[in-house]
Amino acid sequence: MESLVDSAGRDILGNIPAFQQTLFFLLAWLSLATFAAGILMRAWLWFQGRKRPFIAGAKLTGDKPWPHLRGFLSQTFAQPRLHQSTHGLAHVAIFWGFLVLFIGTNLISLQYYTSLSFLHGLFYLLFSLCLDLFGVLMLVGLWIAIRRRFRNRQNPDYVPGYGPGLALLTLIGITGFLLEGSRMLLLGSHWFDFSPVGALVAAGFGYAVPDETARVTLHRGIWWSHALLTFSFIAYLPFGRLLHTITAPLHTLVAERRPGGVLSTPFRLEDIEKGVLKTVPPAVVADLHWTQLLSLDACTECGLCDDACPALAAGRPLSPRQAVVELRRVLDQGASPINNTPLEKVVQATTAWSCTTCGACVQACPVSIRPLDLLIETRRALVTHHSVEPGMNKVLVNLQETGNPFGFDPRSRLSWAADLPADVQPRVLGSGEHCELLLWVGCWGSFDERGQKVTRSLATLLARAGVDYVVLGPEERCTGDSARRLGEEGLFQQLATDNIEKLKNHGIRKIVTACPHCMNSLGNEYREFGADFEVLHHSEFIAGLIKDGSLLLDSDETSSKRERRITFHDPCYLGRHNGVYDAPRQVLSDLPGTSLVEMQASREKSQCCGAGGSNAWFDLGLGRGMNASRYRQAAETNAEVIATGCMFCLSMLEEAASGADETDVLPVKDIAELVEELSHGAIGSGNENT
Amino acid sequence: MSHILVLTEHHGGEFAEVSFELLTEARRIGRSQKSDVTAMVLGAGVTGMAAELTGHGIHQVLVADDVRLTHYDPNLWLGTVSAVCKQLEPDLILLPATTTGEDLAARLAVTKKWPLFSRSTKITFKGDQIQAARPVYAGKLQETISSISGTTCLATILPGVIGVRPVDTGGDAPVVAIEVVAEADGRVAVTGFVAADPDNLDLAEADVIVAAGRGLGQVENVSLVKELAALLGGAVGSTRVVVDLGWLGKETQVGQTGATVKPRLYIACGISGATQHTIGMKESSAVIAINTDPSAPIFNLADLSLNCDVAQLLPVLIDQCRKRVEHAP
Repeated sequence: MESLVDSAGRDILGNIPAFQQTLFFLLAWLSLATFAAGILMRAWLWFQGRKRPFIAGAKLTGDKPWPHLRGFLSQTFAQPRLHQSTHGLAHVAIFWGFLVLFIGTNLISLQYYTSLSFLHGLFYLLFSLCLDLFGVLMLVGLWIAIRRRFRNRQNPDYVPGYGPGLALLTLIGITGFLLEGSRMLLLGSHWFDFSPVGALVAAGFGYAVPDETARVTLHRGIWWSHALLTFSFIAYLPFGRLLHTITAPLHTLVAERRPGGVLSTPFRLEDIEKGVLKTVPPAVVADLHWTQLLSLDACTECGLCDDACPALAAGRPLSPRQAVVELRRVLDQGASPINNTPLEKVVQATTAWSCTTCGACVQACPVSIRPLDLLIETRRALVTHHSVEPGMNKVLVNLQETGNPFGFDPRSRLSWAADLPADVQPRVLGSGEHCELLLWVGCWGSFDERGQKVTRSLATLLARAGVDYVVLGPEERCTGDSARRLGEEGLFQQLATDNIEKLKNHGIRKIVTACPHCMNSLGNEYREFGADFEVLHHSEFIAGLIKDGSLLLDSDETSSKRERRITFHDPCYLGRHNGVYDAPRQVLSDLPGTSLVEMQASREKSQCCGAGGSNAWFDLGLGRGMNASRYRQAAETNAEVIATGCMFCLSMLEEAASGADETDVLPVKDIAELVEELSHGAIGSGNENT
Repeated sequence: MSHILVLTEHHGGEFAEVSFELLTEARRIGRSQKSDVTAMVLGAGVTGMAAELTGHGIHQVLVADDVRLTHYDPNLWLGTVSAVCKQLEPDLILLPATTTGEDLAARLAVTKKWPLFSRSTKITFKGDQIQAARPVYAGKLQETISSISGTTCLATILPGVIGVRPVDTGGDAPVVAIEVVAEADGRVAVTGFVAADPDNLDLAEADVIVAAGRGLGQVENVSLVKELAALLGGAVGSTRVVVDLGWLGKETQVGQTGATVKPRLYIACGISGATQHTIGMKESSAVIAINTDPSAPIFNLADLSLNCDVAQLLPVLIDQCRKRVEHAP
């Protein structure tokens, strides 16, 4: 005999007359067709964009599909970037409530259309309870969202257009519960405990509507309301703000996943040289990759990028969100404007140049948009259309002619080593010679007076530890980081291919550098152009030397230094773009008599010094206070020294220090300089200071 | 026997130094080529001044002295010089690489279909070909370009490169008056000159720059820098930090993210000399650096290094400069 639990279930489409069922299916198909047409129309706009590589994500993640998929699953289902605020959590609640109800409805359809019969018995009861709970969760989320919208309407950041979507979802949720209650009242159920909300509604209806016929009418009325609302919702989806429910996961799935510091490649130089490409992209909006156009439709205008942007905070005319919104406006206008509107007509030049490419916006975006790339694409369009400031032009000409942004004679690349004692002199790689480990000095470390000091410290450390390494000397050229970030992609690729060829000819396998920007180019961006070098930041390398005992730190007793507090500034290109947070901290905390204090905004949350994205080379006179702001944050820790691992950051922070009150000037040091002061070699005469 | 024509330039009743440089170069070529050198002076009330050139080892001085020539008028200049060229048939015409010199040279080149070596630093004859050396790639390289045999050539010479050499072959060239040939067509008329406001002097054009650094100590001392600059007829420069502190405006900033300057004298007041600053001023002809830190990198490129407190030195310097200005005739 069938037990009571086994008999639990639902009569799908019970109480609905046959002709009404036909109408229901007609409307269902109509709404689905509208939905499909809407999505296809948008997709047609996306495909106005660049198609190659067809699925961008596949190219870089083809060898590693799992991290890509894991990122997609996490961003879509856990939404970790939204957990910091109540309304962010409300979004998670709405998402999960909706998702479970959506799956529930689809299970019902599945049972209806197939011979499968699983919606009965204990599974059905749990299914029912689950739907009730997630329905409540969704309504709670919606209530928070709606209340916030009403409260914030006067707020200048208020994003209009979410009203219809929220209203539809709320009404669907409410009618869903009313429907459940009226069905339970009409058809009867023994399992009120497994449908708590439905049971409450049923009780209410039972009290209010005693007449059986009226109950039948009531049920049909609510059923139709629920159905019509749902159809409206499906049909409306591609045309309103809720489009992001489709585009956000889709974009996260198909977008190229690159380390934050790797910029997109709009063309290959050889394609232009061979004449495959007649013009140099990007010039117009349609020159953006189709996934970039899709990303515009994924934007919910949540503003997390704006909150994270240090340039915006410093008063620069840069809102990453606004850039995305302006570009989407062109998308909304149709295919012809997409194909004919120059990028720089959409995103202002001052906006594009304000970006320091710190990547905070990319890190913050919950739907994997890279506003930073859109700004760089605009810079590229500006370069293509010859709209660069004379100062920027000077840098580009210098890079072209001398291989360094300063314009110094490339033969003076080794001037940093001129005053070094003989046993510390670097070995310069001659032609035809091979060596596995290369010290990549970089332009700042080769030519800038301050940078040269850092390089000398690093060379001294390497000599103390007995490391066999070489430098390229006069053969070294800029990696092209600055050229690429100034929008001169061709010059970057030229420098990149030359450097890669040179390094390969010398058999270089492993590179250590004190410049995180060089590190990013050599280790990340060059991969696309055929490089496969192991590139280490000097903090990682020094940490290794200390660990394996090649470099001995002075003991606390022998060190004459008193206890001092050091704070570490995470350079964007070291931390956020390359994930190196621990090595410099490890080195610093190993130093005798040192205690490491953290700034409030440290590690992933570190704030840019203001020099990245080539900002070291030009100055629009807008929002210049980024370095001063970061310096104040460091000073607030009561540290006595600011340590960092990037010569750009070093110069910017030192400049901020010299502008600070005289009572308050903190020395800024590179990791290598701090270690040099307090270490000696494991071999040889040891500490040459003694 | 060849002929070299030199167009001189003058301002406010005095020849510009480049005029003598052109004559120096013309004499040098003239000696090797055994050519005659003719100097041309165009202007209003310039006959007296033209006599200055008679002792410069040249063969004649042509003077067009006419009130219509008060300011540079391309049409009048072109007509008058063309007429002289027709008569003298020079092999080489030298003009200063200045605003008016370059304008006139371009016009002559187009109307006469003569090759023009613009912004040259040295002219030589190779047989009947004329060769010009000129800097390219922002002065990092020098190229030599050559004329096709036997053509009259035009060349503009960069001021300040050749230098003025004393005349070794005296001479007492005749001053010959000539007429203005063309009529002003009224399409271009120079109506006057506006002297640069010393407070707003464009950094790139200033001969002297007094630059303020963080080492001034406090904002009040910036006025000392301004005062010294005014006394020397120069412009005020600054570092990025000084601009960030709000002591001086962004337009004064010298360096990587500011202006690139090449003054004859750069006085760095309390500037340490970070590369980002020196990149913008290292081409200065002479640098005086004042800094308390003896290891400041600015001293590496200073011609005169003053290791002292700039706030104490400047009042003394200003005082001395003022005395000289007051005692000047």
